[in-house]
Amino acid sequence: MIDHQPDQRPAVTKAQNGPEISEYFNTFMSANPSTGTIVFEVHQDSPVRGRIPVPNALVTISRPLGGNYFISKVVITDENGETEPVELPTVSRERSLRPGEGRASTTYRASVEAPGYRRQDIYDIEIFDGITSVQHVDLQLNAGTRGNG
Amino acid sequence: MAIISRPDVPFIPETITVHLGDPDQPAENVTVSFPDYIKNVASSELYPTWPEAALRANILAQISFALNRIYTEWYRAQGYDFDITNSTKFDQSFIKGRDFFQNISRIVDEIFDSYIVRRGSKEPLFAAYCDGVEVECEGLAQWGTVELANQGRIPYEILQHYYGEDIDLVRDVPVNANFESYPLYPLRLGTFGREVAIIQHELNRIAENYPAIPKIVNVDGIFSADTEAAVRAFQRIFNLTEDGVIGNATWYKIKYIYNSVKGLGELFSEGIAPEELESPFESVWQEGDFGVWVRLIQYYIRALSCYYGITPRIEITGRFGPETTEAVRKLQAIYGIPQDGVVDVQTWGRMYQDYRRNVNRIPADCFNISPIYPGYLIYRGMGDNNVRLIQTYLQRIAQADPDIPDITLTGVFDEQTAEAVRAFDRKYLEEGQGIIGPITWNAIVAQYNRLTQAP
Repeated sequence: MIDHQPDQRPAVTKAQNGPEISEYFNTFMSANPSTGTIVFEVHQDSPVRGRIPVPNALVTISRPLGGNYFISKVVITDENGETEPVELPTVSRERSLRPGEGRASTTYRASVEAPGYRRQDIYDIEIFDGITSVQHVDLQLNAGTRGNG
Repeated sequence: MAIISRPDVPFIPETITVHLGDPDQPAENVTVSFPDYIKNVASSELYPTWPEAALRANILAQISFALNRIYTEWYRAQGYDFDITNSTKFDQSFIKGRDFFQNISRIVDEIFDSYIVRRGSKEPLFAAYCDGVEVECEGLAQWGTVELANQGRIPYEILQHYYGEDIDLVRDVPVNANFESYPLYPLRLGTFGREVAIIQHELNRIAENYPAIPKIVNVDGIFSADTEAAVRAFQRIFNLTEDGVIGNATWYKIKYIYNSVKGLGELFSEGIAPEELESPFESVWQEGDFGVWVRLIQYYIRALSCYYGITPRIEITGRFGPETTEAVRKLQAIYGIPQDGVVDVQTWGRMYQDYRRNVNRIPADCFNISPIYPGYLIYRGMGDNNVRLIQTYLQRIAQADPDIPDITLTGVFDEQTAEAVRAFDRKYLEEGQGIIGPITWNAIVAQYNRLTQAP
């Protein structure tokens, strides 16, 4: 029953009231039939040691579906401060190949947390069909934290 | 960074300062490395799904636009403390902290030191552009480039379509930073020299912060197997094509990352000047120098003299005398570079590349040796056909000579091979390091031929 393994498919969080979650989810998925990829590179600019990767940072990628439902996925950085590539739903590539086709990408937000660092929120991460996006995150030390970096 | 006032030759700055607003608006200034700036602009201005030729044409326009602002000191000359703004009314879009697209990032790493120039003029072209749908302008239309790329036009033709026939692309522009510009030839397994020693040092420093990069044991200026392993790990982590070769893109990526992993302490106190690095290589070789490395240089000079029919062919003596200087001058004349008779990095780079390209066309009577030296050092950890060939020769030599230890044919330059090469060097050459350069190569091949052709 207790299974915190990151799911391969985007998880869907249940809200208290409102329409069925599957409605929101299906609407979102039919508007975003394609897939793009995101990789996070998390590091810190230490005055002493220079740029150092931050391992074990928790990256929560999300997007509101409506009705307080969110689509989200959690990943953790490796020793190079990099997350695994995460596939996310987005609009079809056709929309970006001709002008006037409306929104050409789907945007997500992310929050990045690691012990000893200030949480950082990033908005409007653009995901395009078939393209890998790389998001650099420069974490700042928590005020009052000693002996780190 | 010091601001260099109107240099004679345009250059790529190490960093660029962007004002996040209209010029007169109070706003934050952000300083980023030049390649990161272009990645950001390209990711903000373009759709990464566009055909590659369209992306390249647009990126060249963006680079030229930014370099024009820097070269003409457009804002600095008006008293502002930035190089460019992120206002699309005046300049190009830049969104602080945004994501980059990996395909765009790779193109930028490859071409950020190129720009467009109008023939007969020096400055980077003021390459104006607009989207071509919502806004019409004189200059490049972004959506139009997609159309042209779909018709099969290459980036240069796309740029000519908008900026005129009389434009050129300038490549390998010097990068004005506290590091050397790309040496113009790729560093790969078996190449050697001062640049290799510096890169090894830098990779080892980066590996302290990025432990997935294996440490290089001997920082000796020879591109060894563990150097290649470190380069591959670096390329993997920093999203470059993983080929183990240091071309333009990997060279600059290592330099920029090295600069960013250096802490302040190192910047001010421990920072290691390249000339302090322990390396058997001088930055230049000239008349009066002598030693095993001069012999190596002389080998290349002789080989290329044979190829071009330059006479007299110099003897490989290990002493850089007037004949060597004269031969270097003649080669420099062929290459169209200053004829000072000194083997500097540029001259060496040209000779090295030239040899690699023409190794199969060097006349047989040049060394009376076949097969001829392949053009790269054969060193511990390497494994290829030439290692196998040399092992075959050493096996045959060991049969006839009890001073040379017998070896097993493994195809890899392992410890037993190094031991046999050292023994061979001790016996047949004055000195040896267990590395096969042209001198050792020639001696092994000659000895083998003597044995196999004997009655």
